[in-house]
Amino acid sequence: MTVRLGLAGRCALVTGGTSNIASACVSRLCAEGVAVAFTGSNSPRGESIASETGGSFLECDHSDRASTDRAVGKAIERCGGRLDILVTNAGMQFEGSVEDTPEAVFRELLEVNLTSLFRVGRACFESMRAHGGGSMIHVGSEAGIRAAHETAAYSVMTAGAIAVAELFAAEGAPYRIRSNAVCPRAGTDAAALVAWLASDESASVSGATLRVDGGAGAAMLVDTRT
Amino acid sequence: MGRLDGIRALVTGGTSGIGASVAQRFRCEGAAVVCTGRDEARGRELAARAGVDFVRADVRDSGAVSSSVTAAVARLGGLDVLVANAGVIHEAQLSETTDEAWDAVLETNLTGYYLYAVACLPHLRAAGGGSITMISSDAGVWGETAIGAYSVSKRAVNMLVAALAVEAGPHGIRVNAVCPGDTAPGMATYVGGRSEGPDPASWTLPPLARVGTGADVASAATFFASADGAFCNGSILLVDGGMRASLRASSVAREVKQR
Repeated sequence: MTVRLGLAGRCALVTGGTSNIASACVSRLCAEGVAVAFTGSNSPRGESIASETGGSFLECDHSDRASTDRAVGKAIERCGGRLDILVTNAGMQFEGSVEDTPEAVFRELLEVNLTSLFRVGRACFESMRAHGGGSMIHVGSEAGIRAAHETAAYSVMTAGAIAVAELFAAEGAPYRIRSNAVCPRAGTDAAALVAWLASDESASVSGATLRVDGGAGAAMLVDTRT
Repeated sequence: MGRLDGIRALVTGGTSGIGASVAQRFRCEGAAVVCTGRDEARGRELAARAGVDFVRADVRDSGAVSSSVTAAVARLGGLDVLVANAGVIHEAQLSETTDEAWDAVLETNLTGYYLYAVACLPHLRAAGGGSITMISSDAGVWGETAIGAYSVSKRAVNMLVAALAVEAGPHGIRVNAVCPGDTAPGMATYVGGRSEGPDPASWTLPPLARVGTGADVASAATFFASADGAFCNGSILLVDGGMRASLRASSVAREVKQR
């Protein structure tokens, strides 16, 4: 049985909500009784997640600032200006070393994975500050803690995203705004941790960067058998 | 005999602050140096005074980045060392940072470093190896709310250094970061685009109880560029007098001063 975290009646925005990790967060938050709006660029998938979970889908292209602003504005408006929870997960991947990352791709990753996070966070920070607080959770990746040189630009932007999460935590503390980063390894489920971080159960946890990888990133594993 | 005899180096943002200190120290150690900068007059003045070469370039213009690297390589007859240093700072918490300020900081401090690294790598390989040193910041190791976007850009730069160290290492190219604390003359004295920023006498001091100098940073950059740093790759070196070593490191410096 799922533990209830006392989130019923709260409002959440989940960006990049059509990815596997984020749609699991949408589903979990909806099951907790949270009114969830989520963004994504894949409309058919967004509509299907919406009908499965009860969340509301907002079509959005996070490489387009006007589109992002419209979606965030709608999400905040839907909850009467009082957003309690922000889960950010919007981002794109690119496989390649630094040198193999074309300038246009580097700039796009900067915009979608880092600048968009800053801008969405800034807008939600304002709403949370005006209404007595809230919880921001950035779903990043282990590549933001240690370099994943095969996806170099992604790793660079993810490191920046963790810094954004930490800075919002430090700035938000006087306003009861919490901010944390969650770093799953591909294939792991982060939804339970995201829901816990959204809830008052984690009231003193802010500015933390939490790996969700079963210990894989805790130390280097040197295999001496081969 | 200098520690950098025969080294051909490009220093971006080399006409002021830390960049100028690095350029002058490299020159004293026997390196041939080309500096880039936005200010033609300052560049010419430094060139005449310190014996370095100057190429005008703004890192926010990707065309200017590649043409300045081409010009530097032509003047130096090749390239062994890149010191990526050109940067800007903006004083604001993240929640108060405008799009314009964010874009300016990330474009210069992060995209600019990426562009220079990518433009220089083929030349460093052609030279049979070399090094890239990125001037980052202690704010990239542990963020500072008063300079939010700057802190984010430097954290990303430190990760850029790590990724580059892995991909360039097999070619004999070492990539490292120097993370200075408040330095005078340096970024903190150029806040808001003013040439004379806050008086260093009013700064919060690190445990070593003094302000960092351009020479302190130049010393670390010289180490990385020289044979002394031959096995340093992906290293993130704090040069901050101990400021980031503890939550309350600055209180120690106050006690030292009061004694």
